[in-house]
Amino acid sequence: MKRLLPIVAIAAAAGCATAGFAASLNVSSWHLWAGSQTLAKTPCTVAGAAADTFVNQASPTAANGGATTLDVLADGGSQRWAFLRFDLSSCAIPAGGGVDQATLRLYVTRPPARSFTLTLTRVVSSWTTGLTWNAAQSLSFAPSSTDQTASGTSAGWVTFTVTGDVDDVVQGFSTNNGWYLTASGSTQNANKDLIQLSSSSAGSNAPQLVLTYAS
Amino acid sequence: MNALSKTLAFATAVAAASAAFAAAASLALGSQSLSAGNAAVTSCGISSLGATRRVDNSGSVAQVTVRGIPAACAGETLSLTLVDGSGAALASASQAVAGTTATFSSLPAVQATSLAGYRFAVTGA
Repeated sequence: MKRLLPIVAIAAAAGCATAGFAASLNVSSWHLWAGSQTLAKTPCTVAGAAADTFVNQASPTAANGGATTLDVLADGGSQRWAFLRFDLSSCAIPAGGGVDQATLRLYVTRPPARSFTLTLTRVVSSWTTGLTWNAAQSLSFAPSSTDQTASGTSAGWVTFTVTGDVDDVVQGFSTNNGWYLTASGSTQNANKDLIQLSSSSAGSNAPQLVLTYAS
Repeated sequence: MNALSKTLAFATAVAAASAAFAAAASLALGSQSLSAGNAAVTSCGISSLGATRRVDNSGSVAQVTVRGIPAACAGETLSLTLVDGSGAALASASQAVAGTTATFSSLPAVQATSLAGYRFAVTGA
């Protein structure tokens, strides 16, 4: 009998080992699938707008497409709004890709005497470079602005974060009608407070859209 | 020999009881039938899944849509994990599959610039 005790011990150990192995399994489903997807990040800069212009309340029927400046003025009687739109096709973003980060860069050539807030808002309606002040009044715009920045009182680049707007265009959630730019602040002197930015017709410091997309 | 037979029978019984206990402890019973033996774990027909995400103007991932889910997966659970460049999880969510696409819109805040990929898992009975 004593010689058989080791056999009993081995058998019991085998049973416990089985218990240990089985206890490590989590058999709770018949279906199991796992996978992954890796994103590649690609930078792209679109230099120059596909279309840009400004409209002037003081000249309500004038079209300014082709001007070398994009004028923005807050003055109540002679407001000026700038419009611009970019063609993203040069970035060749593949289907299913999306934008991680997008920044609009505009160059101020003529700063105002006092700093004003520049507000960028997505345009919902389509427009052309023949746009006038009167026609702009019937356009539709996004209900909230995309971004704001202080214009400053010196020449140079100003930037706006437009990631969501560009991502929505790339993924088809919205149509690419660009943005319009306005200024806000107390304006008393249109000559002093006019803000001018380089347009795509200026030859240098044209508007830029700098983005990184994932695909 | 008689003593040997009794001892071996006892040992066998101990081992069997231990094994039975182990099996019972490891199974999560989700159905009313139970059979012993080997069962292959299969998927519901998925070959691959792909995801797209929508980003807001602050750069945060507002929602993720997973596409390519076979109709046979309806009712199963889809788990999604957003990972960074080192493979670390940034956010996770699960939901029942109710179509060939699944949209996750209540994810913890994740910057799109940090998002390097997705992990998917589909489980079901």
